[in-house]
Amino acid sequence: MGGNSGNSVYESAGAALAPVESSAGVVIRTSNLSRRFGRVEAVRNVSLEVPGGCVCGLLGLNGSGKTTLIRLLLGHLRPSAGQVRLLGRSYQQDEPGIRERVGYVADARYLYEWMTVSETLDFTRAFHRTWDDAKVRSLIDRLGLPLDRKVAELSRGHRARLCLTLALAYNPELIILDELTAGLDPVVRREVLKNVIEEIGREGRTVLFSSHSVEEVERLADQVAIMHCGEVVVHASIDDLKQSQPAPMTLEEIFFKLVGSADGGRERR
Amino acid sequence: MRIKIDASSGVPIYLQIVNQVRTQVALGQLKPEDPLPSVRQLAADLVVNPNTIARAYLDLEHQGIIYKRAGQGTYVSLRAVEMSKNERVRIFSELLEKALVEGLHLELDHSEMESVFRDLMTRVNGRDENGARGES
Repeated sequence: MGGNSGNSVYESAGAALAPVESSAGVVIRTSNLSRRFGRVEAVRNVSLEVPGGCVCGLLGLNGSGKTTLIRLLLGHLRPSAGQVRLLGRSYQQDEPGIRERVGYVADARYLYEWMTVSETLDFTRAFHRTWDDAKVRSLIDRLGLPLDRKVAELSRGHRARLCLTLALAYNPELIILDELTAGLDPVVRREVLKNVIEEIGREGRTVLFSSHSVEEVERLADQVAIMHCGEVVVHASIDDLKQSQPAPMTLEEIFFKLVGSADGGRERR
Repeated sequence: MRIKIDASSGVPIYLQIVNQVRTQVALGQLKPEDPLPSVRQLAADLVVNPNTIARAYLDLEHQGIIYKRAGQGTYVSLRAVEMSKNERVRIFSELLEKALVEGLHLELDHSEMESVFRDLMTRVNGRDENGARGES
């Protein structure tokens, strides 16, 4: 094998391991981010950097601060201290610019219950210049969304699929998903994940998603960030994390080693 | 090509794919010039991040097991077969190692195990020859 190909081995393997596109740079950057609710510090001093093109899974027990961190990232909550920059901008500088380029699914996503699915799509479409009609049609087909049904009458599964369609419809560069598959049955879950995977396969997409499921993080993510008591206690590539253990360990074992048993951690609420 | 991912394993997923493709080539389940699914296709089938599949394919390519034909896809390479000789030895030695460890636990000494091994060889060889004669 020649020196040149040896070089390209290194470069391409590195790209697969920690895909950093030079042009994309760091897509999510928080510095010393904190948020308190009264006496409780739900997110504490989080400094996180997620490079462009990377899929980062956010793992943590209930009440570890995942959802608060995501709400801070989405600008749905103001930080008590520290900063958020998405795609190189802060909300103070350019909130509309961020909203155009970030798609999200979160529990708190506001839907008008009295609208039908197709009215919801038309309504949201009006806010996005980059809305992709062809993509929306194919998502509706594949996900089997009932266009004439009222949002109030949707099952949990259909609701999640509608939210995912809304999040992907305008081809955002950064996609943030909070517990996308929580409460979904295995068939719907698989279908939803397949669509997320297809999206990851597109050029230059960065994804941050939170999940209870270690398996889901393992399958989907390049990197994992583990939260415990409001802090990010580990942020690393999953393969590196596994291979850095003295003996072979599953991600689940590493997770439990870090956060302890459910009752071993400090009670947050 | 059938690949099974164990997401609750200490082995990185890309390595699971690499090992399974190598094993299938060694066992002749994948033959030279057989096409492999595209990165996107396999990612969707296995519900695994496409970056992970790409990394596994890259590894296999550098090992000479598969090659890319520009614009057409990925195929099992001719060299994979000669390489698979080593692979077959590796698989066999792994099996044998397990048996040897068990033997030590059963407190058999080297010569006892060797004689069992020779007896088995003779018996299996005999069976092979009979089988071959029966077929021809």
